[in-house]
Amino acid sequence: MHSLFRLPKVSCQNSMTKILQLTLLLLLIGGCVKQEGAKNTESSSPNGATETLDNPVAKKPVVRIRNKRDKQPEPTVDMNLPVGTPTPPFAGSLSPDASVKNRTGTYGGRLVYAILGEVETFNPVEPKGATDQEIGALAFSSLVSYNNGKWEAEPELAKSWEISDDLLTWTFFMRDGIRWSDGEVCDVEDALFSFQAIFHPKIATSIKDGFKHPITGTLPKVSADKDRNALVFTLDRIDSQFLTHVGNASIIPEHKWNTHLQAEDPTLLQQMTSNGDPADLIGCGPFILKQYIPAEKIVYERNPYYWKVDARQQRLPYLDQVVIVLVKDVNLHWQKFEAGELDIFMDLPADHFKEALAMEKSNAADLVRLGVSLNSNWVCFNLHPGKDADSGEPFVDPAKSYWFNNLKFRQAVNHAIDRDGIKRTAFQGRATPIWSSITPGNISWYHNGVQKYPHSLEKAGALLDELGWIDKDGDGIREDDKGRKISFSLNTNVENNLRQQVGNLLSKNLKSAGLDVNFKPIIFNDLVTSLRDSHKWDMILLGWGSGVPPDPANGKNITLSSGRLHAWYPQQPEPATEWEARIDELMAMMDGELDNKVRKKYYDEVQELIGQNIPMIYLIAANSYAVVQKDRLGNLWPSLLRPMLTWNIESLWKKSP
Amino acid sequence: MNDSSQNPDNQNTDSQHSDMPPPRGPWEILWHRLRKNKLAMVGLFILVSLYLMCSFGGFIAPYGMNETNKYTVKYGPMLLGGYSVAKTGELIGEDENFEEVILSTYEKRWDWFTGGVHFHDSSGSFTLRPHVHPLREYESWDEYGEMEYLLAEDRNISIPIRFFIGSDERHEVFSLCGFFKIHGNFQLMGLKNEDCPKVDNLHYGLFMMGTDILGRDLWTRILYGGQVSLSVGLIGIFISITIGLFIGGLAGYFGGIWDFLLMRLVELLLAIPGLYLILTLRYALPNDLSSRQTYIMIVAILAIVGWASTGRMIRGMVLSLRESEYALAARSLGGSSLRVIIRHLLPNTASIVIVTATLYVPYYILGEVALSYLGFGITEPDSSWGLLLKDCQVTEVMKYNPWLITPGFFIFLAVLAYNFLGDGLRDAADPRAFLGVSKTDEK
Repeated sequence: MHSLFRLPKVSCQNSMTKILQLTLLLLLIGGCVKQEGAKNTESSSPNGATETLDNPVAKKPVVRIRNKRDKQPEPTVDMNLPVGTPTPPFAGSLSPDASVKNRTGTYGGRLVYAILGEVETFNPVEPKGATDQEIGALAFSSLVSYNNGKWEAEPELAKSWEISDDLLTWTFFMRDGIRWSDGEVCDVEDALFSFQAIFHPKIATSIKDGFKHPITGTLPKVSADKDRNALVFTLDRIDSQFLTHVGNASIIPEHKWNTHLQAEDPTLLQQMTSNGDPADLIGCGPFILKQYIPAEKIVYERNPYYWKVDARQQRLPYLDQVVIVLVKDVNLHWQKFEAGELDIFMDLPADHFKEALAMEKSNAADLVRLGVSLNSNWVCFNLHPGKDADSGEPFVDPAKSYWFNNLKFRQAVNHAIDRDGIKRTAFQGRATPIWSSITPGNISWYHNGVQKYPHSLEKAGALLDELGWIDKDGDGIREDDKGRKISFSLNTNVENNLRQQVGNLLSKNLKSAGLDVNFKPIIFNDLVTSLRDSHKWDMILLGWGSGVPPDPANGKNITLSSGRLHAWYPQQPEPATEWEARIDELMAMMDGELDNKVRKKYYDEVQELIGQNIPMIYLIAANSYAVVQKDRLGNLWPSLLRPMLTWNIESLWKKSP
Repeated sequence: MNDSSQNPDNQNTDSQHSDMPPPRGPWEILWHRLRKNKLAMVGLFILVSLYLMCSFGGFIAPYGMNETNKYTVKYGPMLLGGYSVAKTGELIGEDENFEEVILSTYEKRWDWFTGGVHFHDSSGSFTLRPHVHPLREYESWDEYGEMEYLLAEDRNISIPIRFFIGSDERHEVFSLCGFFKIHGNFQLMGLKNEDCPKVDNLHYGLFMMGTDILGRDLWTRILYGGQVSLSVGLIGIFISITIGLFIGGLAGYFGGIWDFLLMRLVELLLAIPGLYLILTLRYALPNDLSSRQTYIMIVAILAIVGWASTGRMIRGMVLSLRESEYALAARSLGGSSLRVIIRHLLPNTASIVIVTATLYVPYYILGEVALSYLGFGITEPDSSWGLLLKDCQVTEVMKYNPWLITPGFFIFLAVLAYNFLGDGLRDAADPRAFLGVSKTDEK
C-alpha cells in the first residue's frame, strides 16, 4: 500500500525502461492488493467502521493531508537548462533597470489555451470585462503588478515608489531605458499621458472609479517629475488601495495616441478596438498582438523589446507565441484540452472533474488543486422600498416587501436552505458551504466568526410559526398573518447550468418549509437589467467573482449602500438601516488604514453585520481546479487568483515545443 | 365508405349463401391485413404498452416525479447490478485542531448482475420476492486532502420490494397526457418504511434504472417524462392534420386563386428547415411560461410547422376526387360545397391521412426532444424525455454515468414502433395491393 502512493511520483522520470519496470511492479502490487482487498471485504463485518481494525494491508503510510489553503510552491531554478534560440530574436539594447526574475527556461515554442466567450475590446483604457483585462495584460504593463503566487504587489514599470509621511503623496520612479514594442523609449510622459486619459472627464471607464473619492468623487492630481523620471500623485484622502488602482491602469504610448486625447470628445476609446489594426497595439507587455480572428483565435508573438531578464541574464519571455483559442462552450473547451490541442485548462467545472482525474491517473495531465474558489454564490431578496418613477407603482409588491423585510423570515429561509444538498448534487461534493462573501479560500480575509444558519426545517418552521405565518388551508403553503399566500419568484441566468440546478434545489428546499417559490431562469442581460435598473424582481440567485488582489475594499460597489451592485437595495441616497450606515463607516475606515491587521478587524465586523442581518444569503463556493498537460510547461506557478496559470506568462516556457 | 354502404340488398342475398364469408368493409380489410404484418403488430404492441405505462406512470413509479435525494446522486441501475467498494489505503490527516485522524481511501467498482435487484433475503436464502441492498455512504480521502462520497451496496442486508403498497401521501396514479389526473394513495411497488430502519450513512432506494444528477429515480422520471413526450406527438399531429385537412380540402376543391395562395403558403413553410423554424418560433414566444403553458406552446409550435406537407397531400387527393362520379353526383343533387368536402371527399382520404399521421408522429416526438434538449422546451423540475437527455450533454456523463441515456432508448423505441406501425398501415391501406381477403382465407 505504501508504495502505491509513491509510485506515480517516481515514474515521472523520463527513462522509458524505468517506467516499464515500475509499471510492472505496480501491476504486481496492484494484483496483490486486490486479492487481499477482496479477502478483506469477505471477512469484514457489515459495519464499515470496524473494517479499519482488521485490515492487514493498511501499513499506514504517513501522508499528511495537505492544508487546503497552502499556496502553490514557487518554481525552482535550473541553471543547466538549454537556452535555445528565440524566433523572432530580441531587438534593442537591454535596459539598465531591467527587472530580474529568478527563473530559468528554454526559448521557443508556443502556448495554446482557450477562453470562453469573445473579446470585446483590446483597448486597455476601458476593458469591458475580466477577459479583456486578462488579455490586455499580455500586451500592456502597468506601473505596479500583482504577484498572484505570493499574493502581494510587485514593482513593474515603476522600479520603486515612495509615500510621503502624511500618506497623501505617492511617487512612482520609472525604469530607465525601457522601450515600447515599436522601439520608442517609454518614460514618465507616457505614464502621465495614460493617467490623463483615465482621469479625462469625458472618458468613462471602470478603472477611474477606483481613484474617485467615495463622497466627493474628486480624482487625485497627477504630475510628472521629469528630472527623476517619476510620476507623482497627490491624493485628497488616505487610500489603502491606491496601489491596486494604479496596478489596474495600463500604460499606453503617448507618441502614438497624443492626438486622440482631445478636450472635447476624445477619440481614444475608438482606437485599439477588436476590429482595429493589430499593429496599433503598441505596449510594454511581454507579447504583441499578431493576429485576431473573431470567434476563432488570437495570436500573440514575443515583444522583442521586453525588459525583463531571467536568472541567467537571458531576456524574457521564453515563449515565441501565445495562441488563445476562443470557444463558446465548456464541453468543447474540455474536449479540445483532452485531445491535447490546448496546453492548459483553467477553472475546471465539476462536470469534467472525473475526466481530469482520469487524465491525471493515466499520466497525461497534472490536476492542480487550488483549494476553495474565491467566487461566491448567493441568493438575495429585493429590499428596494422605491417606486417606479413612471407608473408610481412600487418596485416590489407590498406583500412581498413585507415578508422580505422581516428578519425572521430571512433567517427562516437561511435555515431552510440545505447547503450540504447543493454541495453533494450540483457540485458533486467538491464545494464548501459559505456564510459570507469571503470564502475560506481567501486566507487573508476569511473570518470564521460569521453567524451560521445550519440546515434545519424545524428551526425554519419554528421561526415562521412564531411570526404567525402558518399553513391554514392545508395546501402545504404558508399564509402570512394577513392571510396572503407566501409565494414569490426566484430568478437566475439561464446560461449557467450549474446555477439552474442550485435554483431548482433551493426552490425545493423552500417549498418543504412551506414557502411557494416559482423558479424561473432568465437571460443574463435581463437579469442584470432588473437587478440594476428596473428593480422588478423578488429573489435572485447569482454569484460574485473575486478581483485581483482579493481585497474586500475592491468590492465597494457591492458593500457600500450607495454602490451600484448593492444588490438588495442599490444606490441608496442614504443608508437605509443602522447596520448599513455602520458598514459604510467601516468601509471608509478601511480605506483610511494601511495596517492590514486593523483593516481585517474592520472587515470582520462588516461580515458579521451582514451575517446577522442577512440581506444576502451566501450559499457555497466551489473547489477550484486547473489542469495542465503533462511535461509541457515550465515555471508554472498556479494561483487561486485569476488568471490562475497565465499570470506569470512572461516566464513560462515550453518543454517540448 | 362507399363500399360498405353500397347495397344493403346485396348483403342479404350474400348471407343466404352460408359458405361465403360476409363481405368486409374497408376498415375491416385494413385491420385484417395489418394483423398479418408481424412487424406492424409488434409496433402497435410496443406503442400501446408505452402509452399505458406512461399513463399509469404515477402508479407504476416508486417515487414522485421530483423527489430529490442528495445522498443517492448518480447511482447506477439496480436492474443491472450494483456498486461495491474496496478499501485501498489509509492516510493520516489533521483535523481543524491539528489532531491526527486516520482517513480511508476507497475505490468504487461496478459489479454486473451482482447485487442490485436480487432474489435472496438478508440470511442469504432464496425467495421469490425481489430484494435490494441498502446503500452505504463511504468518505474516501485522497492524498490532497479532498474527500469524495462513495455510495455502494451493503450486501449483508436485503430489503424486500413490496408490491401494491399504500403510500403516505396522495399522489397521481393515472394521467392522460398530464391533463386528466386521478389521485390515490397506492402504488405498484416500492420499499416500505418499516423495512428500512434509520441508520447513519445508510440510505434506501429502489432505483431500477439508476438516478440522475439530483438523486432522483430515473425510471420514475422516464414514466412521467413519457406523458409529455408521447402525448405531444399525438396532440400535435391531431391539430396539424385538422389544419391540413381543412386547408388542403379548401385548396383542392375550390382550386384557382385559393389553391394558388394556399399552396404558395405551404411551399413557404416547407422551404424553411424544420428545426430552425421551430427554434425561431420558440424565440418569438416569451421565456417565462409555466410548465402547462410551455407544453401547449410546444404542441402549437410543432403543429404550426407540421401541417404543410399533410395539407399539400390532401389537396392533391381532393383535387382528383372532386371529379369522381359520386362527388359529381353529390354536387348535382344540390349538396353544398362544405357538405361535399366533408361528407364525400375527406372521408376518402382517411386511410392515407391515418397512414401519414402515424408516420409523422415520430417527427413530433423528436421535435419535442430537440426543443427540451436545447433548453427551450420543458424545463426543470418537470420531466420529458428530451429534458432527461439534456443531462447527457456533458461528456463526463457518457463516460461515467451511461445509464442516463436510457430515456434515449425509450425515444428510439417509440419512434421505431411508430415507423413499424406506419409502414404496416401503408401497406395495408395500399389499394394496389391484392384486394379483399388473402388466399389462405379463401380456402
